[in-house]
Amino acid sequence: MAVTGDALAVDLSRLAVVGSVALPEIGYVYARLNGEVAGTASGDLDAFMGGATPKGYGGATGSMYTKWSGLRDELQNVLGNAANGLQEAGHAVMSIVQTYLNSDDRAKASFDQKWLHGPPPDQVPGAEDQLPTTAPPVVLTR
Amino acid sequence: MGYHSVAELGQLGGQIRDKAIDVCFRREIVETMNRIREVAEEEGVPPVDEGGPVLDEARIKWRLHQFYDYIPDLFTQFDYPDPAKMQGSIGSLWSVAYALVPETLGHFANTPLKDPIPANAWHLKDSVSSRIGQIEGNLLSYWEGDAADGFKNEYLDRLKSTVGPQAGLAAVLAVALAAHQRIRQTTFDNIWDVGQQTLAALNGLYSSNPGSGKVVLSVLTSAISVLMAIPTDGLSFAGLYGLGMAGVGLADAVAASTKLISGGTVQSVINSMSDRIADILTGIEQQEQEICDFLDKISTQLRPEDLTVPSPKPVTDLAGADVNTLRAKFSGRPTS
Repeated sequence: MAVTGDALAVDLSRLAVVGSVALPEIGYVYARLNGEVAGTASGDLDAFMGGATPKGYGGATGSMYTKWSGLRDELQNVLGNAANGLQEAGHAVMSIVQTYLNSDDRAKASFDQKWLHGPPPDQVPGAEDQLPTTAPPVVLTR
Repeated sequence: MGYHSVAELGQLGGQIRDKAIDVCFRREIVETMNRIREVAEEEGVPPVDEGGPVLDEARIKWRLHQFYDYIPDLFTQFDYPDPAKMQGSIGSLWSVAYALVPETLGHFANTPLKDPIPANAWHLKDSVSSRIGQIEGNLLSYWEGDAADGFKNEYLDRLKSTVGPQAGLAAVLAVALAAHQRIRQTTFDNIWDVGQQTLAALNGLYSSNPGSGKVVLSVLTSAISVLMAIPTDGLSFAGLYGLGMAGVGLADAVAASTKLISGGTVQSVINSMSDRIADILTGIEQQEQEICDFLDKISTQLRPEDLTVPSPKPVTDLAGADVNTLRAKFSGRPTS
């Protein structure tokens, strides 16, 4: 970690890319997948109701629904928690960056110049698909 | 594989009932009269010569309706929603597996499932794992010290290690739901076939040479045929699949069961039909149980640490720290 000035600004810029682009983008992926899994709940009635065994009650169909939906909910929560954790991590990294910048005027001026138009293109990973850094709200089952 | 509404099922059951009544009346009148008298005696209804009702056509048909009015209910008990409606959820789960681990598709190429990934699945050009790798290998390589190590080792590395099992669980859920869908599809196929073959067998009773109809009860191996299609290697979660398969006794379950609907009388044909419907119900229960066993095996093998993404605590704990603390935690990199 550089100590001061322009060198510190360069390192902080890279860290800011982690906090404001890389982590939120992965968080977006998880949030979207969480939503995809959560959406399957709307099909539960069509999948498991009907016949002699109502959804969730008795018989192998009811038992299967209990087991299947339990695992489904677990996956949904895991993906949702991952999304939330990545967003939190991103915010924390940006808070760290800000603390450093507040302690060094020269580094801050250099950083602000670099980030005048957003994340410096030469520091953003060459991802083929640009994703939003603002994730949709996650859906947790508990 | 065709879905049949409850109205269609009820109509088919009604046709069988009406056919049974007609054949009884036209071809088995002696046996029918005897049966009616037996029932009347059990009910304490006096015979005609003691003031009881005359056994005219209306009375006979009324009795025959009593005998066979339960038949439509045998068919309408399969009042399930259209199994095609499950496809959306199955596709979503495959899409999740694919987005997390794009290589998922390749593992199914040589299996009966072939290409389960929906055409409109979200295709990430940079997978989650490669994105994490970019952070570790590029952006964080400029950072050293306890904080950078903690973030990498305790958060990012563990995050990366959960991606495969998460994709595996999504695929397991998709396969289980697809197996359940197959049960419903084959149930509709089989109950419809049973109905048609019953009608044919009843029609055969108009002649003096009644035949028999065969029904292939594919429901008896419906779920297991889907579970068998799961690849056993090449996936990060192969162990889960392998164990799941080992527990469901797949080796013996192959050919669907072919059974007859036959009989020399209306009642024997109806009994034969009832037996086949009972076979279907048993098959549904057994196949759903196979899925339950499969999910049980998966559940017992899933460790929370395999799936659960770690807390970002190594970095969030530093969010409020003062700059001196941060400098201590990020020490070590030579000034460039």
